[in-house]
Formats: sequence, C-alpha cells, structure tokens
Amino acid sequence: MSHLHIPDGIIAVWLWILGYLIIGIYFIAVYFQLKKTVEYKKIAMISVLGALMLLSMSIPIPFVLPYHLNLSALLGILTGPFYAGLTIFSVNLILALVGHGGITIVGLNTIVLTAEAIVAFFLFRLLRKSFKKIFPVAFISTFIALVISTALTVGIVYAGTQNLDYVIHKHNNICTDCANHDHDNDYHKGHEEAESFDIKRFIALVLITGTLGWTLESFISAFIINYINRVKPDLLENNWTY
Amino acid sequence: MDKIIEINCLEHIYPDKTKIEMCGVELAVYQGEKVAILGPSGSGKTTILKHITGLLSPSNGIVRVFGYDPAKNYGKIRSKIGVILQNVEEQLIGPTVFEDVMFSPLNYGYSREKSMEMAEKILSELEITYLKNKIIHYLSGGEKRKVALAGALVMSPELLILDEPFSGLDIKTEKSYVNLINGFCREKHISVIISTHNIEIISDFADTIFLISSKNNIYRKGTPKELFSQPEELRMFNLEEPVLIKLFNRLRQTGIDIEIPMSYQEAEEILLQRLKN
Amino acid sequence: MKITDIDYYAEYGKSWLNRLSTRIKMLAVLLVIATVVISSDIRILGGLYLALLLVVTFSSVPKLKIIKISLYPLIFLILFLVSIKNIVLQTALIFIFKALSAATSLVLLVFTTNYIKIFGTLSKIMPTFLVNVLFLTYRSLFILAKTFESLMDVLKFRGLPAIKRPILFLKTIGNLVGFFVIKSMETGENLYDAMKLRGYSDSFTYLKNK
Repeated sequence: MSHLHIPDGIIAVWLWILGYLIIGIYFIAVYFQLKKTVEYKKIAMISVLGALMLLSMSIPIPFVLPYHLNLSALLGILTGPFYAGLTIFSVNLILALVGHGGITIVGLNTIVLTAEAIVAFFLFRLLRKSFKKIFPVAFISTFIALVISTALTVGIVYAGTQNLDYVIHKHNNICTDCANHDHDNDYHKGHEEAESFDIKRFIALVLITGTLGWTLESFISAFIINYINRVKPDLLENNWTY
Repeated sequence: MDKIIEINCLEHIYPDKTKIEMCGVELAVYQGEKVAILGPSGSGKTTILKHITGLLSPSNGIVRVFGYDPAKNYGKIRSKIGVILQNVEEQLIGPTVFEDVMFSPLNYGYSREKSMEMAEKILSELEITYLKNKIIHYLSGGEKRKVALAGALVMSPELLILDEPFSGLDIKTEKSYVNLINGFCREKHISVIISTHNIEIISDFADTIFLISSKNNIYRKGTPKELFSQPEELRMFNLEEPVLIKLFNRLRQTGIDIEIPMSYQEAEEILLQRLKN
Repeated sequence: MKITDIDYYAEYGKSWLNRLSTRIKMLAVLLVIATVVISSDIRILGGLYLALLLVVTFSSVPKLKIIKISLYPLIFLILFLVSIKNIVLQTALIFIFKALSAATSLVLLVFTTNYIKIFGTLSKIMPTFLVNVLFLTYRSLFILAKTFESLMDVLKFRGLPAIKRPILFLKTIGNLVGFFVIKSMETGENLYDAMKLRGYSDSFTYLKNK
C-alpha cells in the first residue's frame, strides 16, 4: 500500500512538481557522489536490482486478495540508502509508462519508496547489532518501514487533495453562468454538506488493506533475507554506501 | 614469436577460502597461436581466463599478458584484448546490435563517426550486417554469440579470449561459429585462448592444448595430435578423444599402422590413400 | 502482463500507431496528461477518453490487453473515491475519466513505441547517468527474464505449498525470491565485468543521442 498508485490529475500540481524538484536535488547529489567515489559498478547493480523489482512485482501472491511484492525495503537493506532512490526512480518511471501510477506522481512515489528503503536500512542495521536472529530483525525493519512509508503516502494524499473544489464543486471563477446557476437542482442537493475528501475514511481503508499487505511483505522480506543470510551473507554486509 | 600470455604456478584463494594451485606446465600463448584449455568441470579453466583478463588477482604465481600484470595494469592492455564470456547474454549491453558493437570504440574515446565506421566494418567482415538494427533481446542464441564476437573484435585486438563459447549451440551453429572464429583469427593473426570441454571442436581448431586436471594442475601441454593419440591419459581427465580420432586409435590398436587425422578432410585423404594402395 | 511481452508488441506491431513518429506520440501523451491535470470538465474528459478508445479500436493493436492494463488505476481510484464524502456520479466520472485517459495514452505509447525511442526522447530532459540506468534496467529485464521464467516453471512443476499452510507458503516464496536476488546480484557483477572488459570507465558514451 505504500506504492502510490494515484492516477494523474488528482494530486495538486504544486505537490507533484515539488516531488520532482526534490528528486532532482537527490539526483544531483547522486551524480556528484558517483563522480567522487568512481564506483560505477553500482550503475550495473542498480539496474539489475531495478529489473529484479520489476519482475518480482509480477509474482502474484494469492493471499486473500492478490498482492504484489514491493521489495523497496529489501532494496534499501541490500544497497543502502543512497542508491536505492535511483533504482526506485527507474522502476517507478517504467511502471508509470505501463499505467501503474500516474506519470506526474513518479517523483512523489520515488520519495515515498526511497523513504521506505532508508528506514528499512537503518532499522536493520540498528537491530542487527542487538539481536542475533535475522528473521525478526528483517521482519520488524520491513514492517516499520512500510508503516512509515504508508503514513507518508497518506500525508501526501491529504496535502495534495486539500483543494479538490476545482473538481468537486464548481462554484469558482471558472463558472460561466454563476448568476443564473440553479441552486435547487439535483447537483446541489446536500450542498450544505459539500463533497469533500474524508481523510479519516481514507486512513481507515488504508489501514484495512494495508495491514495485510505490510504483514505479507514483511514475512516474505524476512524469509528472503534469511535465505540470503544462509547462502550469501556478504550481500547483507552492505559495502555500498558512504 | 612473442610470448603474449605467461602463467606460472598460479595460486588463487576463493572467497570461501578454497585454494587452488595451478602448477605444473607453464601456460604460454604465443603470437598468432590458438590455444585451448581442456579439463573437467571445476578444474579451474574459467579461473585461469579471469586471471588473464584481470578480473581476478592471484595470491601467488606469475600472470603476464603482453608483459603486464593484468590485475594491476589491465587498462594498458585492454584495447589489445577481446573477450567473450561464458554467458553471452550478460555482455550484450546495447539496445541494438549496432549500438552494442559501438560500445567499446566509444568508451575508448573514438568519435561517433569513427565508432560507426569500425562497427560497420566488423559487422561486414563477420557477415552479420543484416543484424545491425535488430534489438538484442530478440536475437537467437547463435546470433547473440556472433554479435558478442563482433563486439570483442571491433577494436582489432591481438588476443581473443573465449570462455566456453560453444555451450548451448546446436551442431550446425557451432560449426559455423567455429569456422567464423578460425577463419577471421587466422586472417588477422589474432592469438586465441579458449576454454572448453568440447573436444570435437578442438582437434581442428587449436594449435596447442593445455590439459588441466581435477586437482587443478596444468598437467600436460601438446598439440592435438600428440594428446589425442594417448587416450588413456585423456581418460584420466574424464575426457575422451574425438570420435574420428577414437576410430583411428582403435585401428592402430589392432596393429594397423595408420596416421591419426585431425580433421575429416585429413581422414578422407588417409583412407583414400590406403584404399588406392 | 509482462513488460517483456509489451516490448514485443512495440517492436513487432504493425499498426499505424507503430509507424507514427515517436515525437508525435509523446506530444499527444503530453497533451492528454495536460488535459487530465488542468481540466475538470466532464465533457472534455469524457470526450478525451472516448477519443482514446476510438484510437485503440481503429488500430491493429492488442485491444483487450491495452484496455485491461489501462484499467489498473481504478484499483486505487476506488479507494480514493470511497473516501470522498457525499460524492456524486459526476465527480466520480471526472476522476475516472482522468485516470483512464492518462493510463490509456501511456499504455498505447509503450505498446506501439520501441523503448529505445522512448528513453532516447527522455534523454533530452534527463541527465545522462539516469538514462543509462533506465536503458540498463530495461536490458537487464530481459537478461533476468529467463531466470525468472525458470523460477515460475519450478513453481508450476514442483508446486507451491497450499495457502492453508501460510508460513510454509510464504517461506517458499521468500526462498524463491531470495534465490532470484542472489542470481540478480551475480548477473549485475557479470554485467559490470563485461562493461569493464569492453572499455567502460565512467560514462555510457554509446547511449548519447545522435
């Protein structure tokens, strides 16, 4: 549920432009980091992991509702916080091109999922110092990362839908015949209770659908990390960043 | 003749702490020579090639390519070497064939026009110009290998390194691929080092064969004729001589004094001569 | 539907849309997105969606596949619409037409345009290293696709544990994806080795637009 599948035309223009601007600043930072560290191997790894995410998303998990893996938290744990955003951006752009999420929302989507990757990375590192067993560490890191990114999603949706009047209610400057506008017609029934985006209702729906998703994703990510730890533990040492 | 590759008592320690020591015969490749490394699976063939290409660094021993340590100075010899890795899919990077073949020249700083010229030339020489604008992922396995070959040869290297280049190919494609490499390298005097366990191909292809044992020793060096006429030794390496040579070896065992041919053409000549007499 | 399958239609499709110039198609998509963002007129948005459906109908593209994929935004949209208090049909339709118009235009684009041309056009507004990542990601999709298909075959032949054993089920999925992750990382290493052996140092000059 953390991936913003919001279509185009819903979120306010200023917000998705801001999303792209923030991502733009991030890319500038990545560019200079790559130049400084000369670690171009990461370009190949980033690309392959992006392909992995895209392919894994097409594994339907038939669990109550069909669920599709996200793997941003896993990506953060594997690649570290700095380069995860690059992978996530390319994945989101390709997904937007096939209609999964609006093309205008790619920037915001990238921010949300990168935040998820960053939280997962730091939590995993922190908890690993204190706990021996990797499964619960991976589960908790992923779960909390998903909760936080979903909260960010809700925040973005709330911020971006504050002024839906231009769609919902037409009493604005665009109204061409406002003086003669019939205020007694069916459209205006319940006018005193105007259409409005109910964030509490939205949060409730997100919680209902999200909780199952978070649990599934956290379990699967934990099993994945457990497998990697048994087969190739050096992948989890994470020498990617800094 | 100049020695292009020299490997002596190579020692390598893998990440899981397994150690291999490839001592025995010195592995050397001379200019214009075609060398095959034969051995069972897990004997270290690919490890040797990775040391030659500088992808791995030895913990001990000597590895020299064009006089340099490739692990430390690969940049100095890179343009002289063309490589085709085992999984060809992973080395085809460009979206189209033409752009993939242009990858190396552009990376080496050639202008776009010059890179295009070089790519056109190699595609024409390998007779695969018809593939020029094709998307890589829709090529057949054989076509991908030819494109990988074009990518490896575009810089006119002096040395071509091939890691199991024939795996997964049907017989006809395999033969055409071998002939392509053989003909091109002979014409351009390119040295070749190839790792394979396809013994049928090697007899007609290689000038020199290095046999590696499962204990990771470079056990034997010889021409195909020398090695294949000693089938008992080959069996020690889980190898059998090519079918044609096996037949002639068996004939010799029955007491018939007959030469061992290295190709079907040679075999035909020998048999015709015998039959006429 | 897999991206690799969509790519096949883009490369080998025979419709007039496949033959149309990339620039025109991308401008058209831009126009659709701009209309979707700016307009709230149900007539304009409805007309736009109808026009797109007509384009789908009267071109030899895989119509059902395109429409099916372009309906995907409705999943989230329903969640969003249910959260609007006192919503009326007109409002719902406005949002639905916005979502479907944008999605249909983009899906039509990818079904009829080779990815090289799409990314090549994007390279005019995006930094080079980002375009390189996009190209390599797309190429990697096909490199990994074979491994992925083998994994799916394994699932088919050897069977997944039943849902009524949820932990074992999730563990199996986790192990499969874990294997896939390791394989992908190895592929990434091999890809980089190949790039280095072919002279790559710090920039993908081969991908610069003509």
